[in-house]
Amino acid sequence: MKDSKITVLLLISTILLSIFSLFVGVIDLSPADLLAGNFEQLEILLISRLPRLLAIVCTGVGMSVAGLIMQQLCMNKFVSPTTGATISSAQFGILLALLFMPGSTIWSRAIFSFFFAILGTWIFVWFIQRIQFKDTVMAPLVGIMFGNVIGGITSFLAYKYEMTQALSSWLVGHFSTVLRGRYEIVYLVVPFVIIAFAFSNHFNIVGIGKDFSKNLGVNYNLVLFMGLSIAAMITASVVVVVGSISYIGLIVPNVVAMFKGDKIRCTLLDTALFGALFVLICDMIGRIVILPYELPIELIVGILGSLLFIILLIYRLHYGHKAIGRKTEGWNA
Amino acid sequence: MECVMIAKQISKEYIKVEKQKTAKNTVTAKQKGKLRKLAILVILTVLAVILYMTVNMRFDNSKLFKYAFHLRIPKVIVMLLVAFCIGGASIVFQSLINNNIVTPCLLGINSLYTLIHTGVVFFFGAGSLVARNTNVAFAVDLILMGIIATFIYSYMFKKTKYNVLYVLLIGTVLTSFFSSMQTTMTHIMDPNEYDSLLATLVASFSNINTEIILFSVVMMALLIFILRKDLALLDIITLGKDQAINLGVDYDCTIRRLLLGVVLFIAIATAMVGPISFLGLIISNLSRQLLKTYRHTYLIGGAVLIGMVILIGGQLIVEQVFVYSIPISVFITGGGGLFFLYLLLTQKRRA
Repeated sequence: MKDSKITVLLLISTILLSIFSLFVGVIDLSPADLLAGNFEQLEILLISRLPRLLAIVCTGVGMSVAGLIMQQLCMNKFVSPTTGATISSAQFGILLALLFMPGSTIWSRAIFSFFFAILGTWIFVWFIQRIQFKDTVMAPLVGIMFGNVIGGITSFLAYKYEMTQALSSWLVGHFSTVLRGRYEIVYLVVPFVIIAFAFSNHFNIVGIGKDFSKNLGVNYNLVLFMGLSIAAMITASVVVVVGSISYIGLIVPNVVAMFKGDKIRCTLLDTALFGALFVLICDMIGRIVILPYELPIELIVGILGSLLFIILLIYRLHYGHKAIGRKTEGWNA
Repeated sequence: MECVMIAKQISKEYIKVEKQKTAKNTVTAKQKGKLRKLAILVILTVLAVILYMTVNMRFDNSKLFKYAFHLRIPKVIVMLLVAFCIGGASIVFQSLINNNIVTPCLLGINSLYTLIHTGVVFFFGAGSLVARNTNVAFAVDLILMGIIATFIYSYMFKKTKYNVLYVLLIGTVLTSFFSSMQTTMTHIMDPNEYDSLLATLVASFSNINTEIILFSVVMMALLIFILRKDLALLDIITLGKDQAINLGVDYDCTIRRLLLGVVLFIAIATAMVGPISFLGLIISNLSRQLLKTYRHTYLIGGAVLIGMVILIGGQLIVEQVFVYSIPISVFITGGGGLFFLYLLLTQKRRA
């Protein structure tokens, strides 16, 4: 019963914060005016505020679910779109799209970005599976470095073809350009998350190991690569619209798993909700700190996320895989 | 009988002495080999400097010659100094934590420096004495840096119990933490202040403050003088904590002093040219592989010289072959990243 209480609590606070976030901004909106039918205010709401809110929620849900899937499939708590080279590959794809098709629409960029995000993630996972690391920290370390190398290539190409400025809006994630008509790709997150939910038990089984999943009649390679592709496509569709947002896929699933354990079916909903909440809070901070202007969300997430990640690392180093609220019951409790 | 015994003993001892002699001879031969390698590196460095100073120089026109000369001299000096700072600091740091794939720059020490510098301008304002006088600013930065960095990193090492992989991962995360903080500050800052900050922050090899050079040289000389006894103990510290304590070294104190020295050296290098993260990794490992020794006099010398050759040679290629079309940092980051992955993977496999 306690578990569902947390979920309800998360849901309520997410909804409340979402409504609140609609009314934060340069131009004052008031619920009373909206209800009275003030046309101008309604327009602001529909063109700017509502798309922004939806994009925030989709980003939060998508990135954290993508992180959860990757962590489960790789059997490593520290793998995520940031530490698995997915984000930097997606950016690389966007750059190539900008280079080869200067007049490309957002859709063709998205396709390039999908392709490279999937490719990059596959290469990374293939890499860490071939070399069985003794230490769990090795995988994120290799992933970050791999991502840095890809990022280096990207910035080199961008520098050479004078695309640095055009690319910069995809390098630092922010919601300030989210307007009606320019962000709809982010909705792709929704079907992917639903698929992920449908296959969550498969992901869990694959997470236990190759032999075990064969015993249970699950096609290990198929599920592994499908899961990774879903995670990569979620990430890419967020990156195309918002830009890179690191650490959400890393922090959110870990925090939820600390309290609720590792069974995806139980934690998926909480992870999604908490992800949305986390991004909402970060976005709000970014909008309030220097009020008429706003800070890119990537910066806020970078500060909060990296601090949380370090705390998490030290916690894991001292306590291993133990979850907080369920001391000795083990992960299948 | 006794005579025979004595004769045997004498002959035994004679053999012993001979053996020792030959052992000494081989040692000096090895040392000679290392010295020869170092000498070759010195020659290469001098060659690189000469090439850098002379390629595309207009010797026929004395005005142009003077102009180019004045442009190139400070650059060469700075590159030599930076190579010295980073090479020395990397080797010392690696010996301190007993691992060859960690360098101070990977732990975000240089992004901490940029953060502190930005913070000083941010909180004191661009009009204050601290921000206007570059030397004062530099001194303030260094003091703050010394305090904050020693605190953060010694805490981190203690918390992770010197587990190198965790230290590395936390270091990379800290790097992104510091740079996010720094970018946030620049976003909040007054645009005019930001402009004046940028001029001091993005110091590449091409615009260098000569006062800072002088100041840095003085600082470095002072640091080396203060730390000379600790530096001499480096060979012993590599043996490990227990052995070092057995041999009468105040281990913790020495480590702390040296760590502080490393931090300040990196800060000086960063203040001069901005962050060059992988240079230390490349040159320290090349030096270790080339010289194959545990003597730090050789290791540090090798790393410094290799660093000088790489920096000056690289800059020469960037300036003369690519005509500035590619910044040198791209080479160092790309190549360094791959090199790091290679080190990480081969090290693990050997273990």
